[in-house]
Amino acid sequence: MSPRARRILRFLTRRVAQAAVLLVCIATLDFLLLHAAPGDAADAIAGEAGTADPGYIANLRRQLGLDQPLPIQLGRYLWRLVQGDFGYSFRYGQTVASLILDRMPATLLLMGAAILFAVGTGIVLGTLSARFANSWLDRAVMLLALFFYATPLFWFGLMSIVLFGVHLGWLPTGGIYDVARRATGLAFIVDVARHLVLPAVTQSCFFLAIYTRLVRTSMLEAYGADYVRFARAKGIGEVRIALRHVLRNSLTPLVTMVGLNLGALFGGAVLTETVFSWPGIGRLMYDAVFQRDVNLLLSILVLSSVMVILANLVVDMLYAALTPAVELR
Amino acid sequence: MSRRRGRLYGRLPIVLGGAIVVVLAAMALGAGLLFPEDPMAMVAQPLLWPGQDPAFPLGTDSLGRDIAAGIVHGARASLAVGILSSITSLLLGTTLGALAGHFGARVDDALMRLCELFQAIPQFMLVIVLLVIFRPTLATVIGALAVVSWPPIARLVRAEFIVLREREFVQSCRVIGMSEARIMLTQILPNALPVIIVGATIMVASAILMEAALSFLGLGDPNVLTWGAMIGMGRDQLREAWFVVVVPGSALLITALGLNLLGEGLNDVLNPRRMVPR
Amino acid sequence: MTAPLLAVRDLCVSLRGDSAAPVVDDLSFEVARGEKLAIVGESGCGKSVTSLAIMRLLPPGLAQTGGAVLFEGQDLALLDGRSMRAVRGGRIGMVFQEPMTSLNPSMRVGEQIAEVLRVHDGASRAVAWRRAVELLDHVRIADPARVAGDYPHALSGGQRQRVVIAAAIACRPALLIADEPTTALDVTIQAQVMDLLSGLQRALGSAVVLITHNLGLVAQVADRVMVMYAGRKVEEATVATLFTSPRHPYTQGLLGATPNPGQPRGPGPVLRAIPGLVPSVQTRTAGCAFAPRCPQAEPNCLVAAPALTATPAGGLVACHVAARA
Repeated sequence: MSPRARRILRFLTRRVAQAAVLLVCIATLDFLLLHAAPGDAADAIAGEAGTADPGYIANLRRQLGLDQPLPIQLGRYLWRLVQGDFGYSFRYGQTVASLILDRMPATLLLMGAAILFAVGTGIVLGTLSARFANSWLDRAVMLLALFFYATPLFWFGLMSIVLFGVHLGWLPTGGIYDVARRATGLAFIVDVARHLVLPAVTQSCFFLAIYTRLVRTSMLEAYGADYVRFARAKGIGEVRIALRHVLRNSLTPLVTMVGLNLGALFGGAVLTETVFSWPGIGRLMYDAVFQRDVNLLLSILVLSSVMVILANLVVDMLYAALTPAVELR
Repeated sequence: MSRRRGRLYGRLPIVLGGAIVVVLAAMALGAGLLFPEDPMAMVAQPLLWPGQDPAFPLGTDSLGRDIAAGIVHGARASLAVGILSSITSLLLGTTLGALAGHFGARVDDALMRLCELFQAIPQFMLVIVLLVIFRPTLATVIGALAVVSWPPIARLVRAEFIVLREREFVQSCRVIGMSEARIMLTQILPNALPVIIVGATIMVASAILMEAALSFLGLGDPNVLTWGAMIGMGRDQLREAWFVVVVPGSALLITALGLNLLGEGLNDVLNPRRMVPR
Repeated sequence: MTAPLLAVRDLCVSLRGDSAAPVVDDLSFEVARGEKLAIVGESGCGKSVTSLAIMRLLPPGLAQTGGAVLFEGQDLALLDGRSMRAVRGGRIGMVFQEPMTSLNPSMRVGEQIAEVLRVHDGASRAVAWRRAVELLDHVRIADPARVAGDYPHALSGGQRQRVVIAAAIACRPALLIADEPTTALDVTIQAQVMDLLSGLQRALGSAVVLITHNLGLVAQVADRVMVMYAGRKVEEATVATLFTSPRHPYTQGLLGATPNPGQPRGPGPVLRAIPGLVPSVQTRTAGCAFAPRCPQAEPNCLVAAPALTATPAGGLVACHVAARA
């Protein structure tokens, strides 16, 4: 195995181990919050008092060993989580785990689209801005970025619904697909895609602003670098310089930033899904808030964190691919 | 000629941002004087358009409440939440970041793991959970926002302290026998202030926006009228009386813009070569 | 008489927006095919800026405000972007001072040579890569096939500079400009790299413009020397003439400041320093720029700038005192 490959493997193994520890910490935090809630843990897990079967609650109490010392309770709780047992929701009539996993794909679709849009547009706008620095184009892009950064996400969503959905009628105003149409195959995909546009763009605009500025700054720095001057002295054209020399070296900070933003991105799902009636876990969380379903809330929190950590591992792999091996720790 | 224009352009962010923040502060402080009545009182015919009735320049909402009063009082609430949660976050983040950056090794590792923990959990979701468990009041909202906002400041301060601890003026303080605590407080911290100040303005903007999002979802303090709550309540009138949503939303936008411009302007003044970390 | 390969005529380069402060002032010189010219001077005398002006690679703060650069008979300033890019790397190669930062850290070394061939010769990826490995061999890098696949951080400073040279000569340019190519390298490596450059120049028949402040290198490599001070040419001569009978007081000062082990130790300091500092761009006056520091200065020197006059040995010198002698 080449030394570079060995370094990359070592780096990734470290990250996976860290991720595992992180998950345990999150589950522990979850446990503590569960006990901070009013009523005892069994009440919290069973959901709203009164809707649960008393036998179920008694069973739960025994399982959790609420009379045992805290560390044992923690151990049992963690064991339940590892097995995928997040409790049962009487309101929805299914296990919490299956409830969340049913809704997860919709959220992942939305998040994925938002990230891709934010990164893609950020790269394009940032590159243009850097290439034509201090021109009217640059100023316009920076102004746009500032606007997107400062605008409240949910308000932007509402406004875009009013403009594009109501007044212009170009795009649907909510949901993930048109229930009445019963489309299948390609038509279904197109339908979902149309419904995806507004929520994904809304969700992405804050991050789009960040990435545009980041790409612009890194590229401006890179444009001033000696190796760019040398590339020009070799007669390399501006397009190749922009793409292969400058952009390539600006991607690493971008990838790092995306990794840091994943938690915020997921959190934003609650707002976007509520505004656009998108059937994902964000919407589920909103409903759980008003039902005061602490267990569902915490389960969503844990599983979302799992998603974020997994996504971070993917980002780490990208980072390893982009960075010269000697800099990986 | 071009040089003078450059200087004006350069000053524009800080001037504009500063102006907006000053107006905001004035509104917040003068709320009691400008609109002495309870902003949640129903005072007029519902859904009056802005300009329709000169007594209500920004119109009224679906329950007949004066929107202008709501904006001014909302300024007070938003600013209070933004500033108080930011101060808490700043104190927490600066302390932890300084300790980690200065002492390095295990302390630093522990802090970095803690930051990772807080950044792996979706921040907004954690805030929601905390508010559901601890019931939403102004105090719990401020606390919950502070709990999730400290990691970026901690990282910033940590980076500054790491750089500054190697500087010669710090070594010379050690040589004369100054304690580490004193060095950190009196020598290094003042040098890290410019970066912290800029980070703080941006943090206030984020806190205000997050609080607005919470009130929009109905998770704010039910007894306090904030801009987010106004947007949430006006959501059903979106088609016909969209001004109920646009007016408070614009207030939010302008506030966030102003704070960001101020932050950028301060950054240009205080840290001429530094990129503002976002 | 055949036309010179490179003819710089009255070149003026100034800070953008302030043409009263020329960084290079009315500079003229020629380089014939296969000739080796050294441009010598202290930091700040404008020699690097001259080379960047020739390549039309001036940084955003500087601009060419006068004169012309003729290469192979063509005024380079009149070329459009694409034609100029064909000249750069294709007809004129350039080597910079800093090998540590001249190479793109995220691109393999072989690729950075191959891209020159792909851009100029239209070579395919495979052919360009093979050629790149050959070039690495020419610049005496051991195990060139393996090194071509390495990233710059894996190479030493000397190796990186060789890579830079390989990329600069890849298309067999007619002119090679080397701006302080060995200054950032260890002394032992310096000799090797200069040796390499000489060898390559002989093999390719390229002309070389060597920019340096190291007179030792000049003696080793160059045919002719041009001395610059404060943006102007103050002396030009063949290497032999310059070292045996320098005419300009500044040149004399430079040579006196160069250690010479063979010199018998007489009374007085072994190294004679030139007192004072190079004037900044803003403080240059109407008279001779060197006059404030010159041991032979006369009152006229501070008032009137000396023109270049021919010397008996066939060189040029810009000095009132030297012109009379």
